[in-house]
Amino acid sequence: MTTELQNPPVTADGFENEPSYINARKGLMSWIVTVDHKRIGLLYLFSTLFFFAIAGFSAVAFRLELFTPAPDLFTGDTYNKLFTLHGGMMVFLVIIPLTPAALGNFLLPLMLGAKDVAFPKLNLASYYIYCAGALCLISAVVLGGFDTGWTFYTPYSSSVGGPVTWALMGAFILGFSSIFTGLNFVVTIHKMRAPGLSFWKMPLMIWALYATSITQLLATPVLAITLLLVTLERVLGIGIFDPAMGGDPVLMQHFFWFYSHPAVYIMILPAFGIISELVAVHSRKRIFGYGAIALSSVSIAVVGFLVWGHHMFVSGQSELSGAVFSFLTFFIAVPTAIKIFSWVGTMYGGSVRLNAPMLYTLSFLFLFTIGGLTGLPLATMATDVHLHDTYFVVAHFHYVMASGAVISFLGALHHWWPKMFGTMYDEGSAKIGAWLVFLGFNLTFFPQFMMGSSGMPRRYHEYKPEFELMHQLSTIGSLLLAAGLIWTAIYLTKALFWGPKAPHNPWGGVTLEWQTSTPPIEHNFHETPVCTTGPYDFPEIDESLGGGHH
Amino acid sequence: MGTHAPAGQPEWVQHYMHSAEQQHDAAKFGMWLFIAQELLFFSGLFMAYIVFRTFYPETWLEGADQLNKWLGGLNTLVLIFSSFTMAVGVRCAQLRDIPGLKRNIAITIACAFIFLVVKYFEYTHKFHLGIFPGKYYAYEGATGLMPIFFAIYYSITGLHAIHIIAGIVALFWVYWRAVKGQYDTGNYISVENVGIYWHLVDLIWIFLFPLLYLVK
Amino acid sequence: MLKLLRRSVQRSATADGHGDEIHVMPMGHYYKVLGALCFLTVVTVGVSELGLPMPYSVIVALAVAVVKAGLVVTIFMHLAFDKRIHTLVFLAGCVWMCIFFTLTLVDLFSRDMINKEAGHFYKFDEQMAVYEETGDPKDAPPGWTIKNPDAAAHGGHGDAGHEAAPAADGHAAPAEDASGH
Repeated sequence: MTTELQNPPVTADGFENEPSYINARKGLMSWIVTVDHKRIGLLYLFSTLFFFAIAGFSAVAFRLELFTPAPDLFTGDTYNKLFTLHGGMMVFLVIIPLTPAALGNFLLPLMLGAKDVAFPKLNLASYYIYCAGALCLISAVVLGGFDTGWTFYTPYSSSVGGPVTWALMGAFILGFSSIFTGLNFVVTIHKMRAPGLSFWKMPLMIWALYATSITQLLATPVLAITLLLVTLERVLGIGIFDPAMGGDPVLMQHFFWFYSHPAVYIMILPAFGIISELVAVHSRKRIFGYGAIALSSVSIAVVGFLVWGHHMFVSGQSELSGAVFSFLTFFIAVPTAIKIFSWVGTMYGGSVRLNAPMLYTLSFLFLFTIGGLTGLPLATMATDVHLHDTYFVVAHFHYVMASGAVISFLGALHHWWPKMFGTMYDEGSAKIGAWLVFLGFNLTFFPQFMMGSSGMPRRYHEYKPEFELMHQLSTIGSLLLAAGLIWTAIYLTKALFWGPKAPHNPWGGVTLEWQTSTPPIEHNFHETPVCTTGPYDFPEIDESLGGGHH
Repeated sequence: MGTHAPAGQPEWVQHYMHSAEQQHDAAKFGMWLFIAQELLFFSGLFMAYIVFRTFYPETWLEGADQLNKWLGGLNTLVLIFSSFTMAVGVRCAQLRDIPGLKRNIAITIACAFIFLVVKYFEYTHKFHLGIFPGKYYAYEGATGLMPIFFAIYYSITGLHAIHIIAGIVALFWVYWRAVKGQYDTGNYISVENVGIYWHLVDLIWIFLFPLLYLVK
Repeated sequence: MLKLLRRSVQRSATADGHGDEIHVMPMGHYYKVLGALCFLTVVTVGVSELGLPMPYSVIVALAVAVVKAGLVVTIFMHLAFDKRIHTLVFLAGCVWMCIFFTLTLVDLFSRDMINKEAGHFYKFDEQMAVYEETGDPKDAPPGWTIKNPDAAAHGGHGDAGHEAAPAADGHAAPAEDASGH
């Protein structure tokens, strides 16, 4: 992290003599004890991407196993550990921190016109708590792995041998990182907006981060107590979830999913924020339905807390509560659909540029719609009874989560890349990467819908020969997806160190992060900007911003 | 670009804040958000309590017999008093009465220790009888479902005690800062925030006491 | 109390968000609340000595606890004189707790609504009573005989159940046969 950029970043008028946040302080220690939100964002970025690679490779490993019906590569036990690693790492170490902590940390104060978050030292502490949790989780892997699934259902997780307690404690610690980040963001949004920046002028990315942070604050403590209780059950034999002592294992599922369902909204709401930004800027048109999108973010966060039982339709909860949760789950579709409609409405009549961020945005719209619609047969209890624990569910959540969180993140990375690093990536390579990812993703997961509705169960390392073709397509798709992601990593790394210097505002955005230097100086702004326009009020002529599209 | 306080503001205002008021407000707001999440942290245990008490009422009656309501009541009064001295301590900080602040914080810490000592006696009395948590339970004087009652009892009072210990650490920190004169300039938000945390600990006990000890 | 409430509503209606962080609570309020809290503690212990029948004892105890909590939150924690948003945050925490309790209890209370056998958990002690009578391991509650193999051998739970519980490492046994879930 002490590498000097070969091409000094181009800065806007008035910033020429100042080093960017990357160059402002030198040396490894300046990164390790930084309280600059931008640097902390980068620390998170590199950590989460590192774990994304590991979890991704574990997925490729078990997809290779699934190429043939017979269990030829791994034993059942190893297979179980691989998918647990994939799930646990992706959920806790990658997707939950990815957009909120990595991107959010970088962008939030800039978009608000603030010089930092409300509690910068807490921000750094959040990062170190994340590292501590990651170490515990890795210890569990190194000590032999755990095979409970990332969902840690009792009584298996409370009684099986192995380093499960390390994993539970790792996730527990990671929860606090999430809580403190959420706390920091809520206070920053409430208290540190620039003058003139009312709630109704905030970029939709901020609304999304706001809804995400509230969810993180309210949901994650329940995960913490759940994991603590399962740990106590392992260590002390407490018995709250143990039927032989009068307990109830389904109670653990209630506790767990009370967090984990809002957790998926923590994963997707920031993605929605990203898409709002990208679609407006790259269609060069004011967002359609600003108020609807803002309020739908908050309502998704709220309604998301009422629906957790739809993960438990076949677990043994009562039929009445199944019906209640099924009914409540349908309500989530409404604000989500409002968003999709609004984004498409934004593109209509806009000046759409099909650059890499826009390609990712279009991928998202297509893939997330599929994911969202396939959630409906899963929300309906009668059909879910057949689809639960099949590949249909796996395909559904990958369409929403992987396409949702990951593809929107890639779009965001490309969109804000010049702002974060001051260099530009190669557009041609970026387009190739976007296509590879899109095609690879669909080839991996679309066959899984078909397998799942034909009855292929999830988390199985061997299967009946009739599913072989679908599995093979899926495996080939996963290799293509991996290739696309590796390709993206390669050209982005090249851009990081050897990319040409970026223009000040390549896309012509009008939100506050584009009103300061590229990359930003350490304290973001010389003086707190005064916000006079809305976040998507593009001027008629866009040459005045020295940009134009790439 | 220095990291000094903004022009015209006291020196303890951070450079990314505009004013002392903004910094104070932000810190307090953050503390209340933390309180909300603490409520949800304990909610899991209260949930387990509700479930098991509803389905095993006789076990609950038997279990509560093992608990000494007078010691519990004493602890309640101790915590209430410590809450009082904490609130008075915050008031002293507001009025820049540093000796008063130190006195009240010291009493609060003392009450916290008294609470822990009483808890220690309660726990050791139970251990003496063989009432250990979970799989170490070895008490023969009650029905088979008693371990569940004590699972809840130990988990919830244990977690509460951990919060008391964390509170004691925070209170020592506030005391140390008062000794160092860091509250002389009117930046007392940390006293207020530790106070809010301490009141939360009291609040939780206010509910725990009747729910665990006064089951009749 | 009502005066405080009225004042706090008036204050927040006029001053939009300018909190009263410099509001210094008069000592009188603190003394009164301390007295009230101690008094209510005595009341709640006294009421428990009366031994009210079941639903009422909990309701009274919780009502007293809520009043005590209200005093601590409004006066000691200053919420009555503070920005409204802090009250909103605190209430949001309480409401979210209630959401958690309500929907989970909908499940727990309706387990045997349609299908009597599905209420295993609910009928644990009834099942134990049946098991004690018949002594037949098949009547034991699920997992009981694995956790208490000695008791199962003797065909009844009695005191053997307690010695068996810590001695038999019962929870290792049921693990192995669980599916890779």
